[in-house]
Amino acid sequence: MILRNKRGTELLHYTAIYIILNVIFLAALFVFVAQKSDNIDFQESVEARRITLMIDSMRPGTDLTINLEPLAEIARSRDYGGQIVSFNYGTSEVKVTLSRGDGHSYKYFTKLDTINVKGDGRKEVVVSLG
Amino acid sequence: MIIINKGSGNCNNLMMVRMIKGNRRGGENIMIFWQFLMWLLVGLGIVIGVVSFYASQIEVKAIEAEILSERIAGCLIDSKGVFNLKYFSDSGKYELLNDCGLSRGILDESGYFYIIANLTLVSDINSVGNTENWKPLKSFSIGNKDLLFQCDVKRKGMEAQKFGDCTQRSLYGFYGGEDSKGNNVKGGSEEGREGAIVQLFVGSNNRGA
Repeated sequence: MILRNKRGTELLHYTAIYIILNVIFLAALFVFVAQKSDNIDFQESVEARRITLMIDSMRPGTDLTINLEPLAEIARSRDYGGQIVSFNYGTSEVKVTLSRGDGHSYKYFTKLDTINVKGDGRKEVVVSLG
Repeated sequence: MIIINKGSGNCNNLMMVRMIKGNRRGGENIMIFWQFLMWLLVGLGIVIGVVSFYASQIEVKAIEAEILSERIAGCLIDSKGVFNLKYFSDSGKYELLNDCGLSRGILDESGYFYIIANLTLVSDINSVGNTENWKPLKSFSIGNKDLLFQCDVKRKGMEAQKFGDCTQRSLYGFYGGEDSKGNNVKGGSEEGREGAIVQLFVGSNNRGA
C-alpha cells in the first residue's frame, strides 16, 4: 500500500511539474508574441520608413501633408506629449517618437529645400519640395 | 510483453526484472530529454518566425531602390526621348543629383546607396536585342560600389538580410543633344540621332536608427 501510494504521489508530482512547465512555456511564448505585436519600437520604425518613402516619392514643386492624429493617439496612450515627427536636415533624417524613448529615424535621399512643420509636429507635417 | 517464469527461481530471471525496471527509468529520462528538446525547437521556431515576420515588414530597401531608379530615369531622359549627355561625366553626375533634387551627401557619401548608368549606342535601332549592335559610350557611378557585390550575392539566392537590395532597368531613347561641355553632339542617323540604351542599376542598403 505504502509503496503504491509513494509511486502515485511521485507520478502526481511529475505530472504537476510537467503541466506547470508546459504552462510556463506557453505563457512565455504568448508574452513574447504579444510584446512583439504591440512593440512601440516597431511602430516607430515603420512610421519613420513610411514618411521617408513618401518624401522620396515626391516630385519637385509638390507639397506633402501628413496627418499625425493616429500617431498622436498612440503617443497619448503612452503618456508621451513631445514632438512626434522631427527632421534633421544635417543628417537628412526623419525621426518618429511615440514614447519617452529615443525614437527611430530613417534617412531620406531627397534634397529638401523647405520643410514646414505645423502644430509642433504633433498634428500634421507639411513637407514642401522646391 | 515480457513473461518471466518466477517458478524457476532462476537468477537470470531476477536480473532481467532489474534490467527492465532500470530501463523504464532510463526511458523516462530519455523522454524528458526529448520533451525539453521539443519545447526548445517549437519555441525557437516561433521566435524566429515572429522576428523574421516583423523584420520583413519594415524592410523597404527594394522599394527605396525602385523609387530612386525611377527618379533618376526621369532626369536622364528628356520629354523627346533624348538622353541628357551632360550627366555622363565626373562633374555632370553631381549636376544630375542637383537637377533631380537628390541629396549628394546621402547618395554619394553615406555608403548606403549605389547608382551606375551605362550609356550604350545602338547602331541599328530595329534590332536592339542583338548586342553586336551595341557600342558602350559613357557611364557614371555614384556611391558605394560594394552594393554591386551584395546584390550579386542575393541574386544567386543567398539569404543576407544585412545586404542591400537593388533594381536594374534599361531605358531606350536617342543619343544626341548637349554634352557636359555644352557641345551639340549629333548621332549618325538622318535626324542626327542614334538609338541608345541606358542600363541603370540602383542599390540601397539604407538602415534606420
